[in-house]
Amino acid sequence: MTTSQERKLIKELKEGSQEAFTELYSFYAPKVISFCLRWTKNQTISDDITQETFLRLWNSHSQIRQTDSIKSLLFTIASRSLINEFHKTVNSPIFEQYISHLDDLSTSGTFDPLEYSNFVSSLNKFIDTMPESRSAIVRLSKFEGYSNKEIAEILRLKEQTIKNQLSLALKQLREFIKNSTTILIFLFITQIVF
Amino acid sequence: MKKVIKRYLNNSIKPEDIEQLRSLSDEDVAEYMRRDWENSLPVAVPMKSESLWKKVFLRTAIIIIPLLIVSTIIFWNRSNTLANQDVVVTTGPNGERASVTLPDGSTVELNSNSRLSYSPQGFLGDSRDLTLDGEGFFSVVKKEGKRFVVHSVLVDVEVTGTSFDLLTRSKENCASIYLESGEVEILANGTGQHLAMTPGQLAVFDAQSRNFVISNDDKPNNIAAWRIGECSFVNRPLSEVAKTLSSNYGILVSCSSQELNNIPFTGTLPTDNLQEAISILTISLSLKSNIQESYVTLSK
Repeated sequence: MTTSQERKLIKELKEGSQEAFTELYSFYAPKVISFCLRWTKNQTISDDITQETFLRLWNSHSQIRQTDSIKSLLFTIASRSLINEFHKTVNSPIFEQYISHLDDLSTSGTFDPLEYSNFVSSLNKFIDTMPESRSAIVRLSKFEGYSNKEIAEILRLKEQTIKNQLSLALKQLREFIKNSTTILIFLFITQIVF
Repeated sequence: MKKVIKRYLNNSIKPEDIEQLRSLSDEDVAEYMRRDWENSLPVAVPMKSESLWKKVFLRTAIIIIPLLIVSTIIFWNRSNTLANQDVVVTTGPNGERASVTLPDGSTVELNSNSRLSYSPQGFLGDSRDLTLDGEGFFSVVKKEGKRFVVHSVLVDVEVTGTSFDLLTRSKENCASIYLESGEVEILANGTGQHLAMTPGQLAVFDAQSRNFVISNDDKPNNIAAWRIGECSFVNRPLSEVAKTLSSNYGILVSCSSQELNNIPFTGTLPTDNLQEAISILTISLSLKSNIQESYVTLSK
């Protein structure tokens, strides 16, 4: 899209043209999605932020100035949510494991990184196959970051039971790996073993 | 600090980086994001994204929707031609490279003298198709039920795994594929030959003999070394080195006589400075060079 084409669209957008909005959306949405993906590593969140951004753009169309650049405007609108999501991703315990996953992969020589959301969903799917109490323990320990002692208190079980359950989960994960082609869970195991 | 951010964005961060990432203030993050946004490659053509489109407008006031339907029809009729255009990325010689992010999150690092094209609209369908002439390193995001196929003059590469290097030049008669990880299946165009590859293999397809030659490369230093701006050779014949330089720089590099073809060369050459590359070659092998605008000749 050339600058003069965009200026024309901005003029029409200010006047409330949905056609102009549609064209701007078609042009910029993929760029915004990829950008969000780079920073949040999460496809669903990237889609959400993008939708929210364009919605807000539409809702404030009459306030847009002719001299604005859509590129900057989109960034300004999206940045608040994007920054929050960035912090969320970086602070999550699952992300930490994802990093170890990438790190272990690069040192072992093969490099087949799963995209972060795929990593999370594969993990979730597998944990769901475990009996309820064990999956609860795994989630509290690996996803929420609670210590064995804390989990024992929450679930009213003995700490030793928690340890046993976690090591049983570890064994199950190993079996799962033998039968699956996904490397990622293997690295989840190396995380469990400290 | 900037390096940590780059690694984060490229998915190559180390466990030690996490603390730094977590300690970033909102202002720091905003600044890095802004710079990254300013520098990001523009998407060349409009993309039709039907499902997201619907989601956005379902959330707005009901009054808008009836109006929307009418204008949507007008829009699609008018811009149908635009929406059908392909995205084309080309790189010039002298080590020029490009990094392309595809609509599904996959990335392609394009080497010099290459051309990559794809239809953004096509990417939303069942099959993600691209066409390549030159060399690219592909990192593919796995999507259930969605093929990822790279088409070139000699071979089609279907990806069922994730990262590989494909070198295919229409002017030369062979294509080579190095599979770093995952699985790919190659289809030779014209003969219908199929080949499934496993990681660590290098497959070279020769159009003249119509055959695949597979090797399990022990130390594939040269393959994809161009990604870091240089080309390494270990005991390779001069004719091969010359060929690689020709491909990279887009000019003909050749030996003046047959006897020079087999001289072994071991060393690293830059991919963005022809003069330096030739100079390193001639000095280490005690040769002379004649550098012209469109060709370079090496002689005793």
